[in-house]
Amino acid sequence: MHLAVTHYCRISGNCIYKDGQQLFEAKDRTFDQFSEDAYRHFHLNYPKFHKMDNLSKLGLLASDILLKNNKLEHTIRPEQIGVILSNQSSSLDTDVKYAGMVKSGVASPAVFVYSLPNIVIGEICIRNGIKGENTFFISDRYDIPSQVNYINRLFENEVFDACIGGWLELMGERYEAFLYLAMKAEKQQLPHTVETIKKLYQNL
Amino acid sequence: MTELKENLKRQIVEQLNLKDVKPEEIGDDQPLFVEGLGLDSIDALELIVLLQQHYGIRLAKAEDGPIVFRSVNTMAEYIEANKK
Repeated sequence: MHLAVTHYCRISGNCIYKDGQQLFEAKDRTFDQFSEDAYRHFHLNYPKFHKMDNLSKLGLLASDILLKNNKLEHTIRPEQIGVILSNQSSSLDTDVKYAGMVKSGVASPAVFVYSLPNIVIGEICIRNGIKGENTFFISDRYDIPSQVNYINRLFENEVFDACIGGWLELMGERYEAFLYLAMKAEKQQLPHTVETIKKLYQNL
Repeated sequence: MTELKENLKRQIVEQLNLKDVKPEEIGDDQPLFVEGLGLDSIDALELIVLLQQHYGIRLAKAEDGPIVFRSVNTMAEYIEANKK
């Protein structure tokens, strides 16, 4: 058994792609407007989405599109599905907003709860019933070799049978999501290697 | 009291980002949590902030929360009884 990349999704420049195909575009829109447009376009039907910070909205959109029609929960136990993500700015976008609120004297608890980067993983897990291993790494750039090797090591140690990996960066209007789904497979159509992920990430 | 309830409904929708709910759709006696509007524990904290921000009222005892925030009616009654 090996780990193979079965699907991948990218959101950047107000466009959404899945498996290399563009699915959605909304030009000249702020991230708030773009994420709202995408929410309605893909019929997410998840009111909690509106309460999330922008990093979580980005992650939820990308993971929903990545897992659409996948029926992951029917084939793999929730405890055997992992989520390993990374970005550069951590939750700084929300941290700055919250610091501004504290200065103004009215700090929102609903904003405070998003002032950690791994909250987005929690939101993805709650939405999709995922209960497996998860970690959020912070690094200056997308360190593909470290992430791929980490995921492969967890897979070899039977920590999970499937994993959502990728890069989820957002700071103000600058954002980029690249998520992929790696699953246990007998035939390696697209093996989960550093070369594969580099190729998918750089070619999109 | 009617104006206060209308204001409360608008403030609840705005403060809690209930984008799929219109203020006029919230019933005066409709439960705000669980089976009603489906609010959660973070929303409860936001309602405490709403009381402070818009009405200058601090919830004296945390255990009063479930009673005060049961519905728009109970919130309005609490505001009327505690306004300065």
